[in-house]
Amino acid sequence: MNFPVINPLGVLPEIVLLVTSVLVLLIALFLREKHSPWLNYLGALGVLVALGTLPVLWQGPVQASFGGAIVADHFSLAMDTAILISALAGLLLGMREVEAGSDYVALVLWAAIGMIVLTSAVELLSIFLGLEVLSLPLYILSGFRRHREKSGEAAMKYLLIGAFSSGIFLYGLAFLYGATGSVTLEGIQTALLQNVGTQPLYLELGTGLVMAGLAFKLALVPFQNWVPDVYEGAPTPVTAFMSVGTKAAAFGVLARLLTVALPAALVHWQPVLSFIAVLTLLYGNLAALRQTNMKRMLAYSGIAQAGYLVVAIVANSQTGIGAGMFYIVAYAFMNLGAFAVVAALSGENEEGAELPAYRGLFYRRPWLATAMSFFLLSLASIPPLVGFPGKFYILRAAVASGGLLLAIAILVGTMISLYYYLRPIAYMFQHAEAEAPVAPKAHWAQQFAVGAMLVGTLVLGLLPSLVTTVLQHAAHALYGL
Amino acid sequence: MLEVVFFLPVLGALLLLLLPAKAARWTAFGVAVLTFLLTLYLIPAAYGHGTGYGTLISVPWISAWGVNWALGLDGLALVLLILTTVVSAVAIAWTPARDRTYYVLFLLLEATAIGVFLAADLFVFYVFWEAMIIPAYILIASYGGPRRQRAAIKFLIYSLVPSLLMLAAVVVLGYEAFLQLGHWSFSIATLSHLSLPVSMQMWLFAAFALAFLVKIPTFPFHSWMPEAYAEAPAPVTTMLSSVLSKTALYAFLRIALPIMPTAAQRFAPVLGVLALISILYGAFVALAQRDGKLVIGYSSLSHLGLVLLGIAALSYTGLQGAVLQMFNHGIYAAGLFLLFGLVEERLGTRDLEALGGLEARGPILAGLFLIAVLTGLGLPGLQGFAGELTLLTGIYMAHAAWAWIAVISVILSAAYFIRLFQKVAHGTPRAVDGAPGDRPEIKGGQIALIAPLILAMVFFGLYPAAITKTIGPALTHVSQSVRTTAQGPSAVTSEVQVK
Repeated sequence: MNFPVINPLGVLPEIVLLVTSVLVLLIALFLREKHSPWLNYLGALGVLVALGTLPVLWQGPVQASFGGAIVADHFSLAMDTAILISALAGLLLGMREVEAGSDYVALVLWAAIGMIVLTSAVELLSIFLGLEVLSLPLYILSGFRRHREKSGEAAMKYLLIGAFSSGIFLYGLAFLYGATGSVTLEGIQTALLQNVGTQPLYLELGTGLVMAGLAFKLALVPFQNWVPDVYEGAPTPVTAFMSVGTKAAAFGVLARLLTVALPAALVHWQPVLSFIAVLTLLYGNLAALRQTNMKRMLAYSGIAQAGYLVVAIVANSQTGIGAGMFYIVAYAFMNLGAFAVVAALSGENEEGAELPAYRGLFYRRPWLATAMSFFLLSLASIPPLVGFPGKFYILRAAVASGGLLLAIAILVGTMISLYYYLRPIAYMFQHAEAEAPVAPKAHWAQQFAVGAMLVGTLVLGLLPSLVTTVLQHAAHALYGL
Repeated sequence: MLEVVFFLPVLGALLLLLLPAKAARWTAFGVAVLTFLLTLYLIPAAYGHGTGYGTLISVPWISAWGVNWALGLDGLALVLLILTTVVSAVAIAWTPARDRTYYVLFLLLEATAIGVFLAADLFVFYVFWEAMIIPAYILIASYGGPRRQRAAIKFLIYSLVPSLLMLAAVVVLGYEAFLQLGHWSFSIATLSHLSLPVSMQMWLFAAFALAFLVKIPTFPFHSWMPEAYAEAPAPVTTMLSSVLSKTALYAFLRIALPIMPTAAQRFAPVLGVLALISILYGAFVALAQRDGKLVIGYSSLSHLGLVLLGIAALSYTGLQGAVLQMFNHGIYAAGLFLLFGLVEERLGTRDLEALGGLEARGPILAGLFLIAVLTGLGLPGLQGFAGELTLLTGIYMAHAAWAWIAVISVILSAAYFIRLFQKVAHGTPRAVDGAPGDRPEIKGGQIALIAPLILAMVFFGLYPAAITKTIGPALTHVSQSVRTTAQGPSAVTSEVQVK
């Protein structure tokens, strides 16, 4: 049997994370205290090193590994940055996971590996592999607070629906292979362009099922039902990590599949995805209106944000992909920030997630309340915060590709979203009549995470050009074939 | 130097965070005064060659999107800049606030308003336009009266929703520049040279105009106004009425008319009718109000309706009167809101039926209030008169019928303002439980604070040419852009060739 040559440079971030996770597990064996914060710090250090490898790989030539199945090109490297930032946030916010210890850290790192594989895979089986490596640790992480009923419910729901979606996805991959006779994305593209031996029915089925499978992960309507319960039930740090990391990975793979492998099938996927995008962003925004739990509200808002991301893909242009990538970065900062505040306000019982806990917060915890206000305003895309250039970029891509109606749908969605993003802010500036629940003092790492996300939200809001050029360049990687 | 006017209050706000809370009020006042002095220093910079900006700075901001950090100063911007800085300086120090956050937000509100007036790039304009809403919202929500939450949310929703439509229009304009010039651009000067099809102009104009009409406000988009004006603390109401409403009127002149001139002409009758309804509606409601603050609020609705009517007349005189009255209204509305705010604070009520007797117990306050009231009702020799006269002249020359209807408002405004003053100053006060009531007189420091506004009411009443001369070149530019399109596209090209 022949084994492919492994080019370690192509999977350098993955290797770093894997080594770190093994180290964490090994060290934990020799620690007397099982919940040492040092394990989290070590994990965070590993993520930082992995982050450090990205610019190095960016400078060099494109590295392919596993016989060209996994490629560290500019697109994947850019997406990995957002993924690793969310993993870092997951580790820092998870300082208080009392049952955490080594397993928590290792599981976060493994899920991050899966996400990175997903964004860099250019071959169908590797894509599936990435999806599974991403999913399995997240199933466990969602149920991490074993004594909380909701946490167990979240894990169960996520596992069942996730396994189902994996099956659908795999089925779709099989059809794609059947339609084109190739498992590499470029091979599929070539087969479709040359139109030799392709089966139109298989192609349509394959495209549809693959999109459905990814729609589960990306939380697109009508595959979004699991999101609110899982986001609410999972521990907040996990929710933060999952909401951004999974979205980034799923966006990455969807963009790569559609633009690299299936440009010839544009007529099949573009109208469907446009429709789904509009449905998703309207549903997410409307459903979020009625939520009184911050995590559920952010879950529905996340569904809406996924709708905006799909508009960026539907634009089917380099600008569109660039816009989607920028939005992921923006979403990483503002959404992780919002979850970080929720985590910082919550103890064991997630009391910081209920809306009444925010009444008069500004007068009790002025800095946290100010930061939360900024994150929510940014999510509502109010300038000069990062959400605004993010939305502007997507609008710009949509308008330039003739999707004026999609642009208007985004704006309608944004108008609806104003209500639920601004309501918590109104709560925070109310003078509390009754004594609000006393929030525990936040761990310094949680405060650091809030601060770092706030800096990102502000700096990228004021100077989006710091990353737009890089991201435009990264988007080019998908088209530069 | 131009960007410093914007950054000074921002830096001041950051400075406040570092200083002890006790020093906040006077530090904020110092920063605001410094900003005002800086605008005075910038007066020569507003005059340049030709009709364009006297000073224009433009630095690439998001170069990939064709966005420049562009700020421009001409006579038009200068007048509103001076209004903003002087009103902010007086209002910020007017009453002691609970904490320093108030002053931080106030300075940010001033800075963003300055940004709106200076923006020479549509993207920059949009950023400031939106950013301005946030400090205003928190100021209302956090420091207002008992029903402030509802008022603040209403203000916020009314402000943000139409802004999003405007955002769509901004993106479409940028893309249109890309189609016609080969690169995305949001420069207001560049965009006003595009040749946009009329149907597109109409949509774009509607999107912009809606956002502007809500902010002024104009009937039927005004329903956020009574609550926001009533619930906000007096200095914040002052900012809303004196400065924020002007950003919208200014945006008509700066953006809507030059970029979409044909649509402006088509929409002028609509704007005119809305303005006329606002004028009459505002006046009649003001006449019937028991809440003194809302008398002033609805008088603003009426007076700014007249300004909008002047803009809708689309003639040079109409625009001239509009800008003159924008400045005047900014000054006397500030005087009215601040002085009445003091009355409320000292006598414990805004209810006109309960107020009274101020003349006997606080003659200086009553006297100052009288000057502001007389300015507001347009007494010749005071500031309000010159603006009203120019406006009515300009409107009459364009549409005589509009002017006949509008002139009714002059009579009505005399009626409700005199009623307001009578109720406050004459008669005997009805007892109000728990009101401080004993010492209603204004203090020396506040007399010094309000003095610049009172002096301005007199000075610009006697010498309105100071304003009209300043805005002349910029207004010629605006009115020409509308008129040249009236003669058809050929006239535009011939004019370009002459140049």
